[in-house]
Amino acid sequence: MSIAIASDTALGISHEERLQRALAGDEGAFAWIVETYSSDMARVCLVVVGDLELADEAVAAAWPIAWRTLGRLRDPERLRSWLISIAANQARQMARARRRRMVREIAVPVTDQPAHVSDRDSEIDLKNALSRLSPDDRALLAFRYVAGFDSNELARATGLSPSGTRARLARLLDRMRMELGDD
Amino acid sequence: MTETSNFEDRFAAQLRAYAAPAARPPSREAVASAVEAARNVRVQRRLWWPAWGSNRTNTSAKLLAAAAAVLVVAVVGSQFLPRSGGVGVQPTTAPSPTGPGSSEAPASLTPSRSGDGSLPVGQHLIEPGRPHGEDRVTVTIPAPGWFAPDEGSLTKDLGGGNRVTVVVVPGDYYTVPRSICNWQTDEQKRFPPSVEAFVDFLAEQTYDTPDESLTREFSAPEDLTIDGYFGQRIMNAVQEYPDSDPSACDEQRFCTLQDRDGFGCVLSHPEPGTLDTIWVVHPGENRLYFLVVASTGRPDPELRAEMNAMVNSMTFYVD
Repeated sequence: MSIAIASDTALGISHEERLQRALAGDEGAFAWIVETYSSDMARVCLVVVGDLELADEAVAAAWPIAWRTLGRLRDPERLRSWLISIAANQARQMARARRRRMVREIAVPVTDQPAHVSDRDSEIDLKNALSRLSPDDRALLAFRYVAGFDSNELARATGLSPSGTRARLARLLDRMRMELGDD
Repeated sequence: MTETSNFEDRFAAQLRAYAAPAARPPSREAVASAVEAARNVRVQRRLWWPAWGSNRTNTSAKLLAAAAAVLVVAVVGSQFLPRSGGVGVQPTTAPSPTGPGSSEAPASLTPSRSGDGSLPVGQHLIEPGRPHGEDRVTVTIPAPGWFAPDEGSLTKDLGGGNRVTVVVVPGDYYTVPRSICNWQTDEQKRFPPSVEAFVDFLAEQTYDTPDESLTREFSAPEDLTIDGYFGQRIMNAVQEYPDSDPSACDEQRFCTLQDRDGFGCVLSHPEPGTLDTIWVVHPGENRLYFLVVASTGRPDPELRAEMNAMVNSMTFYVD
């Protein structure tokens, strides 16, 4: 299967042809889609759920949904953002379910912060700041800054209008700036 | 501005670094599992009016679908009325602001119906009721003949089976059954206010019989805006049920949409021959609105225009 994928790539097969092949049941086309987009899906899911294993589970849960609904994807160029959105929805549901079970996490207090915090400290701060956001807000940040969605893709993924997503992103950035102590 | 951009750049870099551990190729097992999933599900090949190619679709259903393709309206038969929720329709004399960001409902409300039962032309206020009692939706009735036969519906009946009704149903979470027959006992999915996720799952609903499971075959989701808010619309010319007797179904009826607990039915399923169109609009972070669209009988051009105007006139005031 991997040989077929490499060969297809070398031939420069378009997204549309890939999709047509997938719709026709070509398992090589399915595998190509999985290998091409899993990483981007998992990165967004990791921001949403904050756990690598859960992120992989969200991606795995997204595939059956994607295959069932692949025929409704009208624009093949939207395949990446469409798959990421499906995976993020799975991740959001997992995050909500997990949040209901968890005792609320206590944030690590930021005291006597040095002028140049280490990367590790920054990561902890970021993780704490993200944990205080809703899964929807984490997904929005991940869509924009990890997956690089444009305003139309954001609108489709979130159900908000393009202007609504811009306003919400601006609010989230302000909040992150305060939470991360970036003045 | 520059400071904001600098922080945005730094934050974006930090977030990408945070997500980087997930940026690796999927394992061989993960790929095999995903491909196996593809083997096990029926990949839907098309949804642009798939009923055209269906052997199950009769000529009248095709004509109905053709007529509906040009409609941009939200109409629902009275059978779709929410069973609970206390939706109320009242006329209002105050003009309403429109568009996202409108935060105040019209203040001046007056009692509802005229003497013959039909509602006066003009703007009316719909109060969706529970669980969002503070929400308000306004709609402008452009012509005489519309009436509110009961709570929550705006109906116009031209006779000869040509009847339409408009209903607005709000929700934060709703439960969608996979099967409209075994809607309490089979798989259910609860949705956050995400238009696309909701529409995708709704479009996969099945009729189940002991012998087969058929999808409802909605049209492809169509992006739209109402009152400036994003939404999607899907349509379905309701076919004859594989087994039209719902007596074997949960609560002896078909159900399209459940309440948030997954036990009560918010929207019953339309009758065969109905053009069923569902608009899902997202007017607030924690709210979806469902405008369930259906028409029976031969669509009248004037009625179509009225329905079109009514839907386009809707404004949402989300609590």
